[in-house]
Amino acid sequence: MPHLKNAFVDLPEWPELDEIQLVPVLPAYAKARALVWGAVTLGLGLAFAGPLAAIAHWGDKTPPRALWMIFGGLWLLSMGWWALEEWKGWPLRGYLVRDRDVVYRRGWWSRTITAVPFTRIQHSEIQQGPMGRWLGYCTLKLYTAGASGANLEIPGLSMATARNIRRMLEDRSHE
Amino acid sequence: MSDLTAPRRQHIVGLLVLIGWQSRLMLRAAWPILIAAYMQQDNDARYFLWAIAVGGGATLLGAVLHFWRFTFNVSGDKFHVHKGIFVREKINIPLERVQAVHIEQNLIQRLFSVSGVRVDTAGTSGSELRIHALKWDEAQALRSLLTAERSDDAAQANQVNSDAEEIATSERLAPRRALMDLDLATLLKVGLSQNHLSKVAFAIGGLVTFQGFAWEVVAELWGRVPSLWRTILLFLSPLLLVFSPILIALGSVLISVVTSVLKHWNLRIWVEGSKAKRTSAIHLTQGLLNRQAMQIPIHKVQSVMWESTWIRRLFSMDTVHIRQAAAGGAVSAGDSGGMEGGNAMRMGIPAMNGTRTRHLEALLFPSWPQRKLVTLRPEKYAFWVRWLQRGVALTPFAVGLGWWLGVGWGVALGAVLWTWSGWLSRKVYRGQWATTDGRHLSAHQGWWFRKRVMIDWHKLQAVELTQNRIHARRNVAHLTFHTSSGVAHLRFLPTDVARDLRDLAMAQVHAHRGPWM
Repeated sequence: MPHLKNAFVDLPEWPELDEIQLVPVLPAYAKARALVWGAVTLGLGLAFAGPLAAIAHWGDKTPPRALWMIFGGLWLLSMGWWALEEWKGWPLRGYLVRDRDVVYRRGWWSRTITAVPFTRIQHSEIQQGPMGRWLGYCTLKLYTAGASGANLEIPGLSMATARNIRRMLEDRSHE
Repeated sequence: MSDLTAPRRQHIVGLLVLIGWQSRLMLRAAWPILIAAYMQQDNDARYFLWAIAVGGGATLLGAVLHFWRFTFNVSGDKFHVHKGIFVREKINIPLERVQAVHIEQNLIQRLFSVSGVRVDTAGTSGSELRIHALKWDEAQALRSLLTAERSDDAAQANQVNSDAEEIATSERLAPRRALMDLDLATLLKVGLSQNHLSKVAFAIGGLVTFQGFAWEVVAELWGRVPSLWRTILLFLSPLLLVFSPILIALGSVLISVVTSVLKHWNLRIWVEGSKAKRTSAIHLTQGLLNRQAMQIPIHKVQSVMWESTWIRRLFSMDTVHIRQAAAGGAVSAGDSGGMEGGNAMRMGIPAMNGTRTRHLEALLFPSWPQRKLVTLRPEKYAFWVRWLQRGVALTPFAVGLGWWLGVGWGVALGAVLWTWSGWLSRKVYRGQWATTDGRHLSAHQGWWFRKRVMIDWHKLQAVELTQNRIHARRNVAHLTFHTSSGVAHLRFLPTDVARDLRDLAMAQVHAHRGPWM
């Protein structure tokens, strides 16, 4: 088969993915995440405690103490875990635009690093919701072919940065 | 042959097929109401029937309008479709985006010598569109037009029909290399080696459905049996309890064999076209009642998955799924295993033996293996984690038994369950491995149900490395390779190996020049 090509890749010469030099996302996005956490924590707490308190106040019998303990414990544990994940995971969250690909890292307990080559990006989208408009951040969505979960979302970018990355992607697709 | 450049409707039989198709959808949605109406047998039920009749009328009208408004044509290197009743929709599909064109024939279509055409693209979820009836030669010409690799000069020409004839002629002249002609004996083996467990529910459902009718027949026959024989039969009746599971098992096997014969009857697979001109494609035809003809251009294959059960391994055969780029939303994560992916855009071939597998590998991955293969195995930690997880999940059963019957029984059951989960975890751990030559990946998974996934790294969409804090301490990480047809996982690799593999895979993507889809 004379037409086959399978060039050797010199892996030691391949540029190292330096995870320390990732660019952090905007602090405004941290505020947004904290607000979401606060709202969910409050909402869930009220959803559990409200009916129990109502039964205790207006009902014939007071709810068993164990029920308060179970619901309260679960609530504290889950919300505490989420808060820890956000607190410790925030400094690790970041992205890196390299010469040929985009890299995004997230997570404290379970850390995920995703790399998407520019040549595989089909189209991109900049999304800014009400909270993003209020706090001044947006999300860059990079779509690849298929739907295997390879689409990359980089939240917490400034609008200018997101536009610059998108412009760069467009320039590269025309090269 | 009629003109394919001017907008045209499908064959009039398409209206009949469309009505049948929509009626089937409606019946599927309304069957509980129909059964309720039949059981109720009173005046209230008529309102349900009137509602269904009105729905049926609306369906008929909708089918007629859909047929009337649906037109298609090929011009200017694009496939144009106009459709919609209240909202007019114009779809222009560039021909290079067409992933596959399938030709199908159900009973009605065969009766009227027409065929259905299904066009898949990687742009939207599911099929882009379905043409319900075209004459056989028109369907073939349309498929040739839509799937032929077009040079810029030729594609711009407006002589689409003459192009189609030329393509059809050249395809006829092109060498056709047979990959498989399924004979009856092998077909029966395919039926016997299906996963019969999934058919058990059907067999039990059938028994339950017909038990009322069967009971009446049995009661009538029972009345004619002489009294002596009645006594003997009553004496033997406990045997029914023994034989009923056997009957259900036989029913399940029979259902498997019949569905396999109906689906894979006269299965033929061949390769046709020129690889240099990128017209080389795998063709498949099969089906007894519903004839199916599909083709996948070889350069558009994104991943290949082999799967086998222990019954199939007894017959030395497995099933292969050749996957193309799935549309957005078409891939689901429900398919557990080494490769996750939906049913869309894939060609399933049964009865693959060693020789056929080697032929297919040589065809789809011609450079495999170009260099010495490196074997990748998960760290032993994977086994311990799996054993611990399964053991902990099963322990409540032992605790429950101990609480009920005594500590001794609980300890005994706990020991059995932990031993069994350890044995199972070891089997699963040993079944998980992969090989790579630096360009391709062949990932194996499973023990009872085995899967093997093969991908070419230069077609990857993204690579993901995941590691939780315990994994980081244990120095292991998971790798996920995203292709446009699904996901392949390598779990519990040593961290440095996972990082090297990620970088190597990304290097292959960057180093690749030329189209990948």
